[in-house]
Amino acid sequence: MGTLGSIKLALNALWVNKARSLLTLLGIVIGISAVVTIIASGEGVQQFVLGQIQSFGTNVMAIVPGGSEGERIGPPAAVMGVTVTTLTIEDAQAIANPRNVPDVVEVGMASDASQAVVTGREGDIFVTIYGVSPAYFSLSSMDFAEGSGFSEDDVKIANKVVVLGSTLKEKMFGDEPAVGQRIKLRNYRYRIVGVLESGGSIFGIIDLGKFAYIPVTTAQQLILGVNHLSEIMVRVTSEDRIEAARADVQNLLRERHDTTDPKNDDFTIRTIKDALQMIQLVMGALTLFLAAIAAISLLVGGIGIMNIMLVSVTERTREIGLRKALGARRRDILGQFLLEAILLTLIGGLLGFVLGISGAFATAQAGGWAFHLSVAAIVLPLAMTVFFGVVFGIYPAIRASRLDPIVALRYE
Amino acid sequence: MAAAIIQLKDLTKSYGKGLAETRALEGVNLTVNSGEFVAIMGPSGSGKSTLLHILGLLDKPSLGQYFLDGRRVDHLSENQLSDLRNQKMGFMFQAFNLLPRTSALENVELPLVYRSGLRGAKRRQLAELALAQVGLSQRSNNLPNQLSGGEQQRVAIARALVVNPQVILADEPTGNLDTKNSIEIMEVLSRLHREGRTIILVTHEKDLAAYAGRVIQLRDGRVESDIYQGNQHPLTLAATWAP
Repeated sequence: MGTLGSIKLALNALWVNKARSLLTLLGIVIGISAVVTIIASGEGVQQFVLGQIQSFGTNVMAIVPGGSEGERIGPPAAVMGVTVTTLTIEDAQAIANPRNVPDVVEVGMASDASQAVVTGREGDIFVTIYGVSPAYFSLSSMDFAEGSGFSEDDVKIANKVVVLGSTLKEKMFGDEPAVGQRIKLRNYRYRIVGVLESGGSIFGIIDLGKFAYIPVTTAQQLILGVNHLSEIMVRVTSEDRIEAARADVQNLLRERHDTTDPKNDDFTIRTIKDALQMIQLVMGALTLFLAAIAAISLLVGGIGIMNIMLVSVTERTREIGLRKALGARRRDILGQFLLEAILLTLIGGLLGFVLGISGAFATAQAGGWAFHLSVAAIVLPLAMTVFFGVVFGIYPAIRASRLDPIVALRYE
Repeated sequence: MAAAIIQLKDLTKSYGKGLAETRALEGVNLTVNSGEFVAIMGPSGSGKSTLLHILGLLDKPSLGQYFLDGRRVDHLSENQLSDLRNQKMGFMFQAFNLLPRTSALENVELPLVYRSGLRGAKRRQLAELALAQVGLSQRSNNLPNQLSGGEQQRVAIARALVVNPQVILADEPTGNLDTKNSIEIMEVLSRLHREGRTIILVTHEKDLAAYAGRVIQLRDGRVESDIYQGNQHPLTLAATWAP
């Protein structure tokens, strides 16, 4: 029989039981759409995250308080929400000394964050107050739209000056210049010395424009009442020097903190490379998780297909008997039912593909990353559906092909 | 003298082994010549269905030899038997066995679908010709459930004819039909016989066997009698049935 005729025959058989075919397809539809979404979104998210991280520069490392298990990959205590008080301004100053760390270019500091409420033109604004040193702005690739920020001297004397995020500035002053004005944060009035360029968010969730940056010493003394840091950022001369600098910083801090056993480190050093590694690890785990869901869905869907094909073979026993009596060989019958199973999964795969692409497009729009359809996202699901069609269609098809025509012809 | 199209030599078919062995056919010798109209009769359990299945190459004998058109066929592979059925046999069944939701024309085309190298247009042309032979050209696009029982069986005859078979095997072809339709089908079969077709009919109705020129009685797997009835005109029988 011609290929076209076979396909027409198979489609006819599926069309006769439209509702049943459609319900059978659901598992495949969900599975394939999950696969497509994973592949299509995964790439977009990865590009997006890598881009964000690389904007910080590849010659930068961060030191956070508290040790971390599992060398460079496990989360340090500070990230897990535990306050660790082992990192100080003196530590940062020691790192900044070229005699200790020859490759150092600049060192930035940051305190813990705290919250305040200020009165804007259209009501109250929740502000996150962050104590930093001047180098923090350049280390974080933040540029000034107005003014130029505060100086090392402001840090030294714990001056009451502030740099505003763009959103905050706009809500308080509109288009008018803000530098030179004063705002009240908690109980003190601060002189505005700079406004940051707009833009910037932490993965699209936290708006950096609502931050108010004050000297790190001011934050420690007037707001937090502590003398430890939450982060020290270090820029070194170049990307290749980062591992050498890491070792220098590590030795310096161990010496300063009287630690000999690396297991007892009370700080964690992270480079961009670590961050990339971590992100890839997280992405990998997430992808694996979604892939597992997709695989289970495909498996269930595939078993559904096998089930419905077995039902179909039983229902059409007489038809099979007749075809064999009239000269169909085993492989004709096998081909007929296998083709039916493959077409069934292929239709499911197609529906799932459309659904998955739409899903990936929607998440890309919502997440703000570029929608990108790769060859893998098209070929892999297609290959998978054909594969599943064959795997789950072959058993019913073999059953059909082996029917004894005498028995089959008399089947009621 | 017409050529022997079918020759069975000492044919035996048994099921089971040892004490449980039962013989459906035992030492059957039979020759059917080209152009004969043979009726196989017998009570249920006499082995007539088994014989028809072996003749139709749907089943293999346990012992003995089967020559079809001079060629020994009892030891052929499944695929070879499929091809032989496709080329040399025309089947008719008691339950018609037409594919539902498939037009009369497509039903007639079905055996040709399993013949390689036959284009769709050629298949359709042959199927239309076969339908015309049973007088159903006007009904070619109808589905089986839009046809009467007699018409359905005529479609089945066309399906048997379309392969230009050497033998037409009819298994109780009127078993599901009323008297009027039965006569109609038997008329078609005897016309095909007059046109030179070889027909083997399995039935348990004496009246139908009367259409055949030769009646073979089976009992307990053996040929009990094999009688040539001469040329009894079937129309006289039709008259006895008429209301």
